[in-house]
Amino acid sequence: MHTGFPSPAQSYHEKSMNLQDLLVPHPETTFFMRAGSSYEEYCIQKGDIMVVDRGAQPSAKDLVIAVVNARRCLMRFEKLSRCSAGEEDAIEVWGTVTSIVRPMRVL
Amino acid sequence: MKKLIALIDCNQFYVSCERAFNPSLEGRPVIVLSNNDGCTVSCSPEAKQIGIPVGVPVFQYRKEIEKHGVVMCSSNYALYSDMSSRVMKVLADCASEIEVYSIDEAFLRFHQAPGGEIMRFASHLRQQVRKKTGIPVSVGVAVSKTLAKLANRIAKKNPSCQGVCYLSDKAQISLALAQTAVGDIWGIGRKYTAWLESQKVHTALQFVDLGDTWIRKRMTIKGLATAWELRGMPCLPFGDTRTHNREICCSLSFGRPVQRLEEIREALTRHVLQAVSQLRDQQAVAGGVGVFIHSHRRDITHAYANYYSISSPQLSDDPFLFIRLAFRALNKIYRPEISYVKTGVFLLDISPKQYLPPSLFEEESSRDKTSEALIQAMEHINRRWGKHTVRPATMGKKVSWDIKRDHLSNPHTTSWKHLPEC
Repeated sequence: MHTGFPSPAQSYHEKSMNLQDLLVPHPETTFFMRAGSSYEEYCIQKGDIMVVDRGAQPSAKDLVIAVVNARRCLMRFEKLSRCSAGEEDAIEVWGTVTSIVRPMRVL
Repeated sequence: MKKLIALIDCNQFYVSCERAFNPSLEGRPVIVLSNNDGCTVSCSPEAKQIGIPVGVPVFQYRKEIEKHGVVMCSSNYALYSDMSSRVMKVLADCASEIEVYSIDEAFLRFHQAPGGEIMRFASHLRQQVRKKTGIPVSVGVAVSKTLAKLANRIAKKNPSCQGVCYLSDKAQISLALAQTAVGDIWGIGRKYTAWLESQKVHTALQFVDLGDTWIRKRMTIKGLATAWELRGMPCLPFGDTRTHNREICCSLSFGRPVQRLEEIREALTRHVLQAVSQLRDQQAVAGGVGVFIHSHRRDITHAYANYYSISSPQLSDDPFLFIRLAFRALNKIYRPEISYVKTGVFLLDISPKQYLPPSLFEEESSRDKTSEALIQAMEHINRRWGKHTVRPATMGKKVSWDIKRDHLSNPHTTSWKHLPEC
């Protein structure tokens, strides 16, 4: 039986923060991918985990995973819309990179 | 306001899942194979076009596969099941009522909106699922489930529909019924089809024109419900029809015939772990375990099949307890001279965990109990590091009897070790 004085903080209790809420607000449309090489211009290192939301609407500066001629590549959305203007290539936005996760030690 | 029902069906679901993570498969003939890589279970349109249907032994098509460079995939059920739940969640966000009908089909129910809104809504559903999960779907809309199913068939078959079909008025429905064979009606099985054909009832239209008493007498109330549904009168209940499983079964064929008790125990251990993991996922407990083994059916001299079940001293969700019980059952039916091709396990008398009564003989049985903390630690480690990282020793080290999955893709969505790369 608890008989002590009730915690004064009790009515201030809030849920602890959770990285899932921050990084994956839409679990059903979010996929994870690993960077197969370094992309210095985007500050992405080989092995980084990319959080990719297929449901997000990309804006010009967003990094997207695109499928160009049946191959996955990483690029800015604005660049993609430029290169798709003239050419006959089959281009599709696979998803928008919304975060990068970089474990600092081997998990 | 009238309610409408949409049936959303994923196109060649397994192939589409593979394609979602491997864009090089797009536009090429792809087939997904059943367990042990035996039969085709899903074929891309390109594969169907060169004459490879679903449900045939793959070795019969070696020539076509080689000639056209058909890509073969072993079934990757971890991936398919995850992708299925994603598709269902996207759909659930689009309508107030959903009934998940199978791994790749769901019914939605919604209020009829005025004018051409229905077609727009159906196309919207299709685009949403395609964009958010990468899975292409077909949508059939009508007033009843059976008609929605029929509309979906039309949407799939006719490229001009662009994956969407809405059977809105009597004339359209009659036309669709006239073009549908009785055997293709949802809910009419092979036996009734053969019988209806013999009665000169060939199309769905002829079927709905039969008298109610006649149908009811020959095909029971179920057949009558089908007829009414096709006439535009919804009869089938809507809602989650999945009830609490009373039984869980896990079984698998061996990759090769197996004789040694040890190897069968290894397989059984794995099946029990799988079954108990399903049991724990639905927060239930089981009261017993059943084990079956059988030899090859064609092996006439040594044909053997047997089943034995043992009830547990208490309702439980402890994998180690069920492994012990399964071994005891196996000992009752194992015969050393037989070559076995399959073994499996049933968990019996399943009930929700909250009804778990305290055992009368707690003291006596506690010796038999594994601590819940140990089980949870094992689950935690395996979630993080991959299935079977930590496992009971009875599962063995290296498995030589495992099913054949020579063309398995990675579990892209369920394991950190196997993320797709870019």
